[in-house]
Amino acid sequence: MECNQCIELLRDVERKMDPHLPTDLRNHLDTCPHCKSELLWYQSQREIWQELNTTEIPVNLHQNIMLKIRDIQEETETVSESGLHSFLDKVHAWFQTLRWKQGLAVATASLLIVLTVATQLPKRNPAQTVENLSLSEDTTLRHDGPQMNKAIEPPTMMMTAPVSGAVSEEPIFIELEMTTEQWQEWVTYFTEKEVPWTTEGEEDNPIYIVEGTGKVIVEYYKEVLIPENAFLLQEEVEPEDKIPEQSQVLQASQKYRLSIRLQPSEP
Amino acid sequence: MDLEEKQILALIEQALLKKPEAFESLVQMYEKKAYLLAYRLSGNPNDALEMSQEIFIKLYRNLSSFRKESSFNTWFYRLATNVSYDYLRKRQREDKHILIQKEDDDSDAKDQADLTPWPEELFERKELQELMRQAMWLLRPDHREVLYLYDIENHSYEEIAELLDCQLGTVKSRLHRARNALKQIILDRRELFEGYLRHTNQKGGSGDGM
Repeated sequence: MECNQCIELLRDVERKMDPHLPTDLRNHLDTCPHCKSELLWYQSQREIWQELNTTEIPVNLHQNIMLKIRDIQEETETVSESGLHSFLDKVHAWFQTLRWKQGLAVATASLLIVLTVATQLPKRNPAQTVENLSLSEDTTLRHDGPQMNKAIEPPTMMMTAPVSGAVSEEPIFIELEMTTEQWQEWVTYFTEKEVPWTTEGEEDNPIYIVEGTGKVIVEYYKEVLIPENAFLLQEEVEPEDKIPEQSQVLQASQKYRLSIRLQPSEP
Repeated sequence: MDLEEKQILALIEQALLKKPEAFESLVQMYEKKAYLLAYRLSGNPNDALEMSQEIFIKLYRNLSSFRKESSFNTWFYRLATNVSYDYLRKRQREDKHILIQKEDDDSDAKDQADLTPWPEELFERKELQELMRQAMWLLRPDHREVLYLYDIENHSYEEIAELLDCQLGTVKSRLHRARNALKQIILDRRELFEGYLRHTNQKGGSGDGM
């Protein structure tokens, strides 16, 4: 038997943990110290892995996992509730502008209309319902920037940023990680070209929310608001330092917080 | 489809209907696997604990994307390894000693047994286990994992290819490289290890002189 053959066979025998070695294999092992050492090697390796498989599982493992899961469950519930609360607040404000008797009559009629419409309306695709859009961790927000202003195109404006959690009517906060070079391009764009920090989306200025697979979940949002104080260098820069000096940029951490408020277009 | 898989699918359906107890049952079924995988890849119990949490957060968020194209076990394993590598990549940025990168092309390596002889006397020592234990943790995580799947879990090449979502040739060459890498680490560290043993033996007074 050749050593090459023997070693392949050994692996097979060891995998099956068969204590009965075939005769030709045993004969070879008796005369070949190299192959014998291979056998010992496999045996040692198996013992170590078995030790690993009996590694003690932390007693708090289950509890820790479930705590995190419950946090997420609560977050999801809060986000979907906040959409409802915002709607109710608007209704409440509207009622305050009416006299209470009128209000009562309108309320009754509205309730009836809402109930009727709600039972008749077809269910919308949940992926298009922005008030409660759950996004997987590999989802990104994509903005093909050069379309932001047709007259002045910045050198590189396309950006992608991870989006997690849920998108609601509230502003969503996106942690962007940019290189200093990318950051400088953004600063240059917003300052030297005198492009306003607040911009409104147009039909040809889309923002996409894209799954990891490249599938676009939401294609267009009516308004994209990049507030004036959108770019802050973590806590190192005061809010009034809207446009940091170049030297600050170079020394800065490469993590920037960008606040983008997204509002849906009509479905 | 076996009974366990049916039970799992039923739990998934319930969990997707936002029944928290169903998701918790899934956690109970898979938490040990997730932890051990995370521990094998990271070699660190604290990281393994955090990685396990992230695995289940990802599972919670992505459960609806399980399309039943593979078994849940396979799908979960892929999800868990992806989360673990993501975690390790983040950790690598903080600690350059963590090795996670995969080879660009595994397919070039020939699937042949390595015939570099082992130093025979190595096996005469009871300390071999200790040497190997150290070497295992110096392997890259993907090498350690492929060795584990093949040599210990007794998966076939085909099964490993499905689990790791890669080509059959990649599995074979990765195994080959993993074995060679392990052997090389041990040979490279032998001198260091002998020094260590001499030191500990002197301290302990056994004095067997290696």
